[in-house]
Amino acid sequence: MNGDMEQLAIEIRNCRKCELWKVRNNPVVGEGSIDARIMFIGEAPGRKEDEQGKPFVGAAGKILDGALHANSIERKEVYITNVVKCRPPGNRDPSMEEIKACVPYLERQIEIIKPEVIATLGRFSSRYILSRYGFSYLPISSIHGRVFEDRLNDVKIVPLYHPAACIYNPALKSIFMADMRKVAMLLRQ
Amino acid sequence: MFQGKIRSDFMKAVIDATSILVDEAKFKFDSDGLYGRMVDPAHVGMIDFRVRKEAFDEYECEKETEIGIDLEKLRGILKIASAGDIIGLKYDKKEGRLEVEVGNLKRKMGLLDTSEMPDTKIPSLELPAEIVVSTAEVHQAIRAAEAISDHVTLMADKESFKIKAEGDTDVVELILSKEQLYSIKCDEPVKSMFPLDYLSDMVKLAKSNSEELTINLGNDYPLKMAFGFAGDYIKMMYLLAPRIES
Repeated sequence: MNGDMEQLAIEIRNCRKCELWKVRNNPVVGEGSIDARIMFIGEAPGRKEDEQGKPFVGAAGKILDGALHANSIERKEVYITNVVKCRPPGNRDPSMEEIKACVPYLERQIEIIKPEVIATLGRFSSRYILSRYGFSYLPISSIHGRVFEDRLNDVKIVPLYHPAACIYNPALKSIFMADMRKVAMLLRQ
Repeated sequence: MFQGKIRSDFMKAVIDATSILVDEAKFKFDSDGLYGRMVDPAHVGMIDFRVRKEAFDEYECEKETEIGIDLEKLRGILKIASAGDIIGLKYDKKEGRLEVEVGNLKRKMGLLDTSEMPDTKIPSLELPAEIVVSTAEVHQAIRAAEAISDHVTLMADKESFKIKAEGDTDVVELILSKEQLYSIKCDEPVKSMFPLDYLSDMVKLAKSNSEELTINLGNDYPLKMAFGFAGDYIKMMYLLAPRIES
């Protein structure tokens, strides 16, 4: 399985399926254990992530790390990735074409890791993942922290606010931390 | 735009099969035919069906189109037709409604918004056993099981396929040897338990449409059940999550 992920990483690094390859510094494949019980899926890399080729290493990453630490979850135990692997210029929202071109990589990552829990970070990944598992999407403000259980795939999905949202709206940080506690509780079950 | 003509009983079967799991469904039409995939709200069962254009008497689809259907409403319209009647279906995006033609009667049906309806993927399941069995045999066993329990265990090994239900005092068991099956591929014994409320409806629907049922099984793993009709131009596949006893 490690080999499968390495092969996938090579394909992502060589990917030219959308225009983002022209403006990226580094694609961000994902990071963490391929035996992870939980996958965190964000939207797309930001500036720091693009520079380092690693997911969630900027300000939003610090919030994610803090929430993991507060729940005694080590970052190396989980797998962290994004729906779109290359940074959209100016941190704009990824387009439908970019998402469509990139999601086969995410699909393969899910297949390799087979997580018990998927925590989606923000509306883009929540929308895609919920739809993929047959759930209707509602605004993130009404579904954050809710556990969606898919018994056919034996996976639980928990939509969370994107940690970056906590930077712009500090009131969301306590909600994000509370939702992360729910995620941690699922892992203890 | 899409338009086609099809036997009413074929369309009824598709609606009935889908209604087992959902009240509202997204149907997609493309140049090959009609298809749909839905999961029930409890995420216990999934249906994936395809009606190839060859199952239609006439079929025309300019480009891929999806429509949201209130299944009960469409079922009500189809009740007007007798089995074997040919019905007309027509959808024009500008009109925004589905026109159903039964004889000289035309009914224009309002559609549902599909933008928030999910695009579910089929789970990638490694199911080691495949059994092709008489639908009537399975239906009989499920009916008997329903009288004593709310769940049933399906088992297979190299030589046989078994369905077993246990109530407080009674037991129902169907054992079919290799010779009594159409075929069986099963290297290691497999066993999974399933809720009868879902399985019963799925098997009943299969029995109404096909003599053969293909069942794929694993250990404490979802069940895959597939059958075809209308010269195999209509194919149905159900997935059902196992009931796992803690």
